[in-house]
Amino acid sequence: MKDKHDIPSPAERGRGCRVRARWFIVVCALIPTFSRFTAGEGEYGDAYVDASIGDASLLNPVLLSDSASGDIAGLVFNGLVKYDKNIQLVGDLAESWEISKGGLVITFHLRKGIRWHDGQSFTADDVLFTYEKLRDPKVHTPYSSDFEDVASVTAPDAYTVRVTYRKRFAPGLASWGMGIVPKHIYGNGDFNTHPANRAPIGTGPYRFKEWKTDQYILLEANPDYFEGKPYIQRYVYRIIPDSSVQFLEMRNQSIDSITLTPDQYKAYDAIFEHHQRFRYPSFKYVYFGFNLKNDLFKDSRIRRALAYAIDRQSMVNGIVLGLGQSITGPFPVTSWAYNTAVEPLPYDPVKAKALLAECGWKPDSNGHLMKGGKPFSFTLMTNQGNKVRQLCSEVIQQQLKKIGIDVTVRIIEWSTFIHQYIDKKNFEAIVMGWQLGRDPDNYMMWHSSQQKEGQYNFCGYENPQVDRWLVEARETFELKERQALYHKVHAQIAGDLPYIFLYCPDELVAIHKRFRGPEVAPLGLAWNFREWWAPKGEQRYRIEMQP
Amino acid sequence: MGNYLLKRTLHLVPTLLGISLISFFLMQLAPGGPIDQMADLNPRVTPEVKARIQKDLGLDQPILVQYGRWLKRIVLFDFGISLKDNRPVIRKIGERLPATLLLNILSIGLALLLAIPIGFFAAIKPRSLFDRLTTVFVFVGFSVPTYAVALLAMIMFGLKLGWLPISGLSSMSWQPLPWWTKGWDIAKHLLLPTLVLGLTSLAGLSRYMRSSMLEVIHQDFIRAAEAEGLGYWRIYGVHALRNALIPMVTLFGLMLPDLIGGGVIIETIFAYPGMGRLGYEAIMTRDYNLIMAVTVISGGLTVMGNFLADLLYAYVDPRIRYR
Repeated sequence: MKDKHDIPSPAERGRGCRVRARWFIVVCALIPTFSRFTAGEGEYGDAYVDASIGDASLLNPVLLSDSASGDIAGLVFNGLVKYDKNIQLVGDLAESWEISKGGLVITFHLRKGIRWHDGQSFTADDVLFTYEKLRDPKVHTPYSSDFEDVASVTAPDAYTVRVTYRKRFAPGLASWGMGIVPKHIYGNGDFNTHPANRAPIGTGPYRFKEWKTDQYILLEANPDYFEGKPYIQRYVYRIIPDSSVQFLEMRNQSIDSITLTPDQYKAYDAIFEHHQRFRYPSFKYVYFGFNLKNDLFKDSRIRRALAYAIDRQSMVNGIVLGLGQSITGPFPVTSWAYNTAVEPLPYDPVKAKALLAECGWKPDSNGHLMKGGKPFSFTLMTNQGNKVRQLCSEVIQQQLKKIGIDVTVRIIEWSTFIHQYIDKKNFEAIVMGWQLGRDPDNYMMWHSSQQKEGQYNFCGYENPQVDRWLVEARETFELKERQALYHKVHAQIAGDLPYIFLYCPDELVAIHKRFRGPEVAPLGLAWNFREWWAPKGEQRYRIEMQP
Repeated sequence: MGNYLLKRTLHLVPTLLGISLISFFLMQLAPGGPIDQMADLNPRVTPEVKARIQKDLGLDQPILVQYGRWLKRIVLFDFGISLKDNRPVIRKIGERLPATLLLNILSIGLALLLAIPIGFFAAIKPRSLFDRLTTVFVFVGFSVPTYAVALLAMIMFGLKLGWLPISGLSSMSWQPLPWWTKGWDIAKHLLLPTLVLGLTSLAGLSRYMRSSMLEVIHQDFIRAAEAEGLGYWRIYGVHALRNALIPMVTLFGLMLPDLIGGGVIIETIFAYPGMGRLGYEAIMTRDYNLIMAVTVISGGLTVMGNFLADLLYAYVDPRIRYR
């Protein structure tokens, strides 16, 4: 099963076709890229067949919470803003915006002449409607917390939207990447169960055409799209729940795009005869976290010693076959918030032992670390069903054994793990991962106020300085200043080591070679999907164009 | 007989009530709940938002109250809405049922069609070459995991030979097609899953048939028939076979819920949109309404299957009479 926290934020759903809407930097060497093409030379037609493990559930950007629904909604809907390929916010349905009154008011100027897929005009009323639904207590949306600080949203005219905040909230701008839904379709009907949630009407580059539950979802190019009609005429989202079967379908050329596992990625070149492989850093990371309230881990020297004792590079090599990179802090490697100046701690078991000895942990005759007659031992927990985390736990267990620490690995079913152990802080150490948003705000994970049951600073990290920087970064719209604050946060957390940050895995994708245009950028691969095309002679699907 | 029918039908009510009560409580015992899909480790969903949605769905009530509400709805055949996509549960099941029935009727039919003759011929000539060969074949089919057989078949017929599609229920059709083309397309998609599912359940069935047949042919009435000089086929093909089929009727009754249950593994591998995947995903996402609907329907069918088997007994075995 998918990790439940693989939930992209609305803004990042922006351009999501397969490739699960991930966006990252070109750090890694790419296998020969396609010859660059310039806009305007593409040829229309053909279909792009994508594959997904799971089916979508609700094609409504306000309600959806799974990545499959996000993939489709990203092609059917637009937000007011979106991320460009370098993860900078640019206008989408809004042509431009101004921030005034010291950051308390954002005024969006909407593009004129945009039409919903059913021909109706898009206006500020639709934005107001979407906002009302986000704040409506009867609507089951997971995104309401993004808009909690909004005091009011008004529309001075049909193409202007004015948002007033109660306090300065820089991540608020990105939250307007939320897909805007049509007022005239939903009207006063029940929003949660409205039929349009299965047959959406949006403003995006693709129009919804058909959905056969658990078989496929079919979209058709929108000829009236305000940025121009997409070249690829049809987008097919096939549901193939087994990844080895997806791999067979790829070899059979019956799907054009697939997310690969590291061993699939490393398969013989001949297998990728018709497909081009891409790799780029994900917005995820895997970490080894401590319960900082536990006496064993209170002393940061102990955590530092453990960090010296774990060889993270060999972990990357062993677990994801080198398709990832070790990291030093709590931001995505490709984000502007990630502080590249922070030096990683080297693998140095000798230093680890010395540090532990300094804290009173001395090896006995069998090599076990002892202090006051007690051995250094703890339980490392992770959730069931995640092979990678299980392997990480075992590697940690082995590497710590080498310096005399006895680790018991316990693997627990997901729900029990979260609700009985994580939420109740009933653990010593854990191996877990985060999937991060495009906006680097991670107040929820590191601010000392976020430690109540069900909140996300479950390790119990408290640093008044980091608290201040996190709050300040939330109030700072200026990118350079905000970046400086996050760099400080990164350096401080890397020093305090509430987690030992293990590594960031790469996204691994293969796409059929007939498509021109895929280009890895900081935002990922699919950011320019609308401009992808296949030459007439290589097109695999003949589609009769409809007027 | 009519009296018996009425009595049995009335028995169904407490049985079904018991099934629903136990499954409702068991389901609630499983850790987590329907909102977790959206809320677990999602920093945007604050505990307050979670509590609000839970309250709106009535999930904050005591379990007994929830069960009472559920029961009240179910009497009116209202299975509620799925907590995953807010659609009526009955619609979701309705979408899957035809595909599942199609695949399962075909594969069970295939299994029975092969199992009865295999068991029959293996039993009348025990330890013959045919018996040994089918035993080996059937046990191999039984021991190899379904997913392995399925993947090998996909590589062979889908990828290497290119005769059959690898997965799915139908090809993407870009223009309206005549019904026979569509039918042929679905048939091609059904062939592999039917074969794999049918052949793997063949093993058990054919062994039952063989042992039941063996038991019958050693009984006195067969010897008596032989002594009377009846023809070989009349003895084995009619008298022995009819008696040997009685235990198969029980099995057949028990297979009725399988008709709609579907196999999670086979459906997952073949990307087949059936009930097995629906039920499995419902359990994994704690979609309570959907889990209950699937449980009650398959529980009901199990009870019905038993009932049907009892009735069939009376038909195939004249010694049995119900009052």
